[in-house]
Amino acid sequence: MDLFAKIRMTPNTSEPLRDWQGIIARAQEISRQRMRRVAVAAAEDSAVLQAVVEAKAQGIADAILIGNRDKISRIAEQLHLDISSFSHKAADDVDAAASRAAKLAASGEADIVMKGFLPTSKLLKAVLAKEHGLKRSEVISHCAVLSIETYPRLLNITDGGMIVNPDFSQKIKIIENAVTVSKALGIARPKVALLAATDVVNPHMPRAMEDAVIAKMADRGQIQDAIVDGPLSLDAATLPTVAELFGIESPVAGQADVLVTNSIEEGNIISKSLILFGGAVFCGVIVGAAVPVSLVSRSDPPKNKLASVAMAVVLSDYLQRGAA
Amino acid sequence: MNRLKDFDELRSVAIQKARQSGALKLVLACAEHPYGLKALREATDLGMILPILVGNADRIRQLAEENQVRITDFEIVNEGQLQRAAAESVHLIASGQADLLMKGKMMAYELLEAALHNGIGLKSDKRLWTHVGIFWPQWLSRFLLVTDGGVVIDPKLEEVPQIIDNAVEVAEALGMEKPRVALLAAVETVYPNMPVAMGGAIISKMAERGQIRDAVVDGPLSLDVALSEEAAREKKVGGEVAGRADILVVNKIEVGNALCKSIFIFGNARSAGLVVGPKAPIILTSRSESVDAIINSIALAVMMVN
Repeated sequence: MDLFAKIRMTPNTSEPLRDWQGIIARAQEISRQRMRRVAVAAAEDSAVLQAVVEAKAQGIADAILIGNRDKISRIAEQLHLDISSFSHKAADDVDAAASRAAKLAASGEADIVMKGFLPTSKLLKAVLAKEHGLKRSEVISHCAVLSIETYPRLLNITDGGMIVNPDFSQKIKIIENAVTVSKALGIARPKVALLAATDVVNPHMPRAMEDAVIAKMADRGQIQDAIVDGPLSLDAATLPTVAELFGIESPVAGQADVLVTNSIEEGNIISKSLILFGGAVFCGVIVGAAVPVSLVSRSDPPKNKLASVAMAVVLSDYLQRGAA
Repeated sequence: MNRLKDFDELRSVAIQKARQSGALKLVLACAEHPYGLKALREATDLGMILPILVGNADRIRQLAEENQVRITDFEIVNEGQLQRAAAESVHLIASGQADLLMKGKMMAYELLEAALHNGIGLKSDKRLWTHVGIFWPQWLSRFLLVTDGGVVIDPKLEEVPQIIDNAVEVAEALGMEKPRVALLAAVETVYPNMPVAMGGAIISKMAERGQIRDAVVDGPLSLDVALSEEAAREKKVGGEVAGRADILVVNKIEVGNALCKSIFIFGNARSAGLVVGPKAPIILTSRSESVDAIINSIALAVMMVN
């Protein structure tokens, strides 16, 4: 079975990417110009090693493995993974590994930081340490970019991974971060749906009222480069027929690129539902720093791991071009 | 009763029941609703119900004709104004002239408000009315219940046992004995900075102490761990619920609403929806659910009525 058959087609970079294969093809194109490098903090982790070995085999990215060399080699051996072509940097503990990864990113030796066997919070603390100057946004948030066969565009769901209960100003920053990710995917003005249980502004629903306020702020130009509308429920946001049948006047309805949720539970549960029930392929990335922070989990199928690394490459390229 | 396999089996037991004890009278509130009329035609022909349509009679007849639905044998109560139509529909149930209530072309809260304000006879001993979404997703190939994505906006901790209890009543009508209930969160680990995970831990301990009966309850559980035995194994989460949940309980209406919609839109699932708590369940499906979902809901409501 050739899982990646579709990938090898030459992508048209001016078009928005529409599926996970497109993300991978774009990442390969970027790395053909200059091989992008992933600094893996605490690489003593089977899922991460699988991801970077496959990413290198597919020409998506190279990796620098940071951690205890013996342990890393042992895990690779057990999984029959060839890691001999990666460079290694020694680190005695996870804090040292995290700070080493951040340093590599700050000096430009690495383009992406990847989470290995350490808590996300430790890695982010190191990346955001003042000395590295890698802080870009006030809020660091998570985007789950889903590729669903029955939906004609990539669906970027945020935030189901970082901010537990975003307050109003955090929600704005989460939207801005997501817009950055969607722009990196080639969508010039992403359509952002503020997800709610209804499309009417029900005064009994505080979150729906917040959405109405944010949508109006976007109307007034207070959120750049995006078309933002809400409250919208999931069917109105993603099914053109529903918007039409029920007369929902919205430039976002039926064609959302981004879904903004109100809590980590909402984002997490909806993403997982689309993966489990809808067979979606998932690329996750943490955004808000000057470099993407990538994370894969053990339970991710191989294509999700690969697509997550590719997503980070695409975002990294976009951020670097923006800074130039 | 054994666990029902799927919606087809549910329909056939409901038809059997109606054959034995007689078709139930079903009121469609604000019946200017083509999908609703189609579903009622089918359910009537299956012998489950006898419909009463409440709404603007001319408009109903016109819509029926446009959509080629025969309604000549349906009773119609002419009331064109929405609030009065809702109140009249509720009155028909409260006075015992009809058995089941179904939402037509109106907002869910408009019908529920009418039911709460006018329908003395509708109320039962349940303290809380809740929405239960019922699904048969291809991926699971079994029934899955989700609550509450339709009525309770921000359930308080003390309301969760009642939400579970209402869903258990639906599960029992589907032949489930001691259904497995997962309290959904973003994680399985109890983190003190995640109130939803803390809530899940508290409720599952309440259940362990016998404060929630007729169900096996566990939480916090993430969606993949609740439903996939493989994910439960990989993340080393034990217990009777992980990987095998029958009922998913969410912490907020947005979560439940989007979860339900994601299952039937992207999971290609057959579905049903009921409001549980009143003496007879109210048939309440989402606007983007199909005619099939309405008929499934009617069949399930038939099974739940004494």
